[in-house]
Amino acid sequence: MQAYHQWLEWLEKSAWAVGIRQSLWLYPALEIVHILGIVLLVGAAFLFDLRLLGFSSNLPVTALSKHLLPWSRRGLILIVPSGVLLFLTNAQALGVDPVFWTKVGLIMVAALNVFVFHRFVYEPFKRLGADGKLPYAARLCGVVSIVVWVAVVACGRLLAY
Amino acid sequence: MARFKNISLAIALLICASFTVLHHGWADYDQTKPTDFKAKIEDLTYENPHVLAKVKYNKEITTVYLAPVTRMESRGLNADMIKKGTTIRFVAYPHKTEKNEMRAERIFVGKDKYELR
Repeated sequence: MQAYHQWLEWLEKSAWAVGIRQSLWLYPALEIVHILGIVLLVGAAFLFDLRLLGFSSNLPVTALSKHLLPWSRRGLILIVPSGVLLFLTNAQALGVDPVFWTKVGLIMVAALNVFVFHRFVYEPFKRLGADGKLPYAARLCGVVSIVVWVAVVACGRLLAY
Repeated sequence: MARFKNISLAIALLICASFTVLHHGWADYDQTKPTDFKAKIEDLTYENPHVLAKVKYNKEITTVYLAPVTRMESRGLNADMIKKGTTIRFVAYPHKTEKNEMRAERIFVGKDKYELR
């Protein structure tokens, strides 16, 4: 535990963390990149989830997933590096903040949901092609995704100053 | 449609929750009690996300939250104008729960007024 606190302190006092805190534009720029990434990841995920729930059921699920989900994944390219850098600037407080660890836990739930959906629920449809209505398991994955991502965004807002 | 309503409700609740616990948002400070005082800057942290000034108020060290660096600069302030040892006038609100923490609505450096909201 002692070592963990020392590590957090070292992160917060690192040249990168100090540089970002003292820069006029870097901190807000990182926030903008982080939010743009969230827009891309969560926005595309929501639109796919709504299709799973039965909205716009005239659109083929497979085509929609091929369009939306790669963009959702690319959102991570913006989110992860900017998130790590923002964490550095306030590592000592965030590293022991239950809200931060709730957020990390929820992101892992979201990832697990993606894994379960693609591995078990969606796999047979990819082979056969999926149109119209999906099974209830797919709808459940959609609901879990929406609720968890809203909670992640809420946690993020609580963490920000 | 019932499911959609349930999801919307859950989302609305989460959004409400996320607005009630902003640590240093204006709502966390008691805006009915503006405190007008002059104090010497004992320590200045001119950094994002907020510039912080440590001052003595009623003989106790108090942390006053100023504005993000970009807002400080756009209102015409810089680190040198409020550097350690400078005496300036604050109009600040006390935090509702944290003792010895305030947020400045405006500051006066010399005769010049700087709005920080």
